[in-house]
Amino acid sequence: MNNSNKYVRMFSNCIPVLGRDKSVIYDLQRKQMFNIPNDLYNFIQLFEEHTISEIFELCGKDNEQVVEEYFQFLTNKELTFLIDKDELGLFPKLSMKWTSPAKISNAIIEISETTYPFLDKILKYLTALGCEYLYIKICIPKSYNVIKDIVGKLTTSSIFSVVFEAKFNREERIADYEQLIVENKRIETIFLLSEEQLKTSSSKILITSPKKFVNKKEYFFKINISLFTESQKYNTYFNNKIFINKEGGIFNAPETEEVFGNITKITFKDLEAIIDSEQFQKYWRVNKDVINECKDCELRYMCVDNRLPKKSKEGSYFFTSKCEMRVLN
Amino acid sequence: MISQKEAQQLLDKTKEECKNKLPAVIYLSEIKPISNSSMSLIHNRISIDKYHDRYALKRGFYKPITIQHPANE
Repeated sequence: MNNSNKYVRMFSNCIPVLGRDKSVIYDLQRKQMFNIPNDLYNFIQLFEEHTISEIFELCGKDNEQVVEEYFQFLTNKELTFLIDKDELGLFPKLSMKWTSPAKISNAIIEISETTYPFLDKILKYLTALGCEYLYIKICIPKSYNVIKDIVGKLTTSSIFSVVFEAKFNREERIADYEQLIVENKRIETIFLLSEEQLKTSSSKILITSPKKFVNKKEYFFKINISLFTESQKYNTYFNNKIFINKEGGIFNAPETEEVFGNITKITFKDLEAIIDSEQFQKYWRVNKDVINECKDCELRYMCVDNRLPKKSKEGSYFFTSKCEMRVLN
Repeated sequence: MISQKEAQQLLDKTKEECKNKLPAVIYLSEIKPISNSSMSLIHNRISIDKYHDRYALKRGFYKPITIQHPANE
């Protein structure tokens, strides 16, 4: 069968992203990435208007072998397929529209002597805002009892998943934590901070030194359709986030400095007004495409970076610290 | 108030008209239970156990909520 008059199409969930030194094809469905040279990125752009034979012609006789290699690579990795001219209109591009029903989708809460008594109120407010994902940092002793109590409070709530971070005390038993995880599917992970070498059979318990920074590549880079579409227009770290610190202070994130009120003193209406305010959402739309350092990085739509962007006089954004993410790749 | 006979006639007439206009109209008396063989074809229905395996156990958010964990203090 002669395919030379056929057109090549990328699967709509396989999206090439151009970078400074190299490019990446994001396979959003299989959650994979393929590093490619920028030449291949430019080559893929030819698919839009040209048939296979036209592409061979455009690239010239000298490059015939490379063109074949490129086609072979894309076919082997199941990134492309062939269609006829009359089918061109049948394969639209993936919509990059991203919306969320939640005003706040994720929250970081520090549990202290001050905030713990207000936890019911905090959870009620967050649920009303549509929040389903929590990161709870326990800053008071008897971590196990506190976690158990919090999980009990969530039994009938719409909070879908919780990550805990707590100091491990010697008088506690790892087995109790393991049991807690078995009984509560809402617990996604428990980070237990301990200098000791401890063992656990649960994959959901991570025992780590308080000073150690978890720097696994898989943790910073996530390839999925939600993150890809959100990162087109939003900052994936600061968007839809809230942070409540030990004193009950309301922030956008732990990295931001501006305090917007105190959760122990405000009503739901106040909180809603704070979240709707332009000042609270200051970083929400600072996406990677407007940040100088990130706009030509091929990993920009899979990276969740917690650095605070600063605005330059020209209106673009920049970071004051060096990127540690690229090193991991 | 109209007599029962009249009401019945009116109902039959309406049903007849509906039937002419909408061939797919279903009368309650005609609804039959789904046969076992049809049930077996509804393959996308999964049991609660399988639901937990497939979805409930994978409760992670699609992105990290916090980067520095544990936080550098």
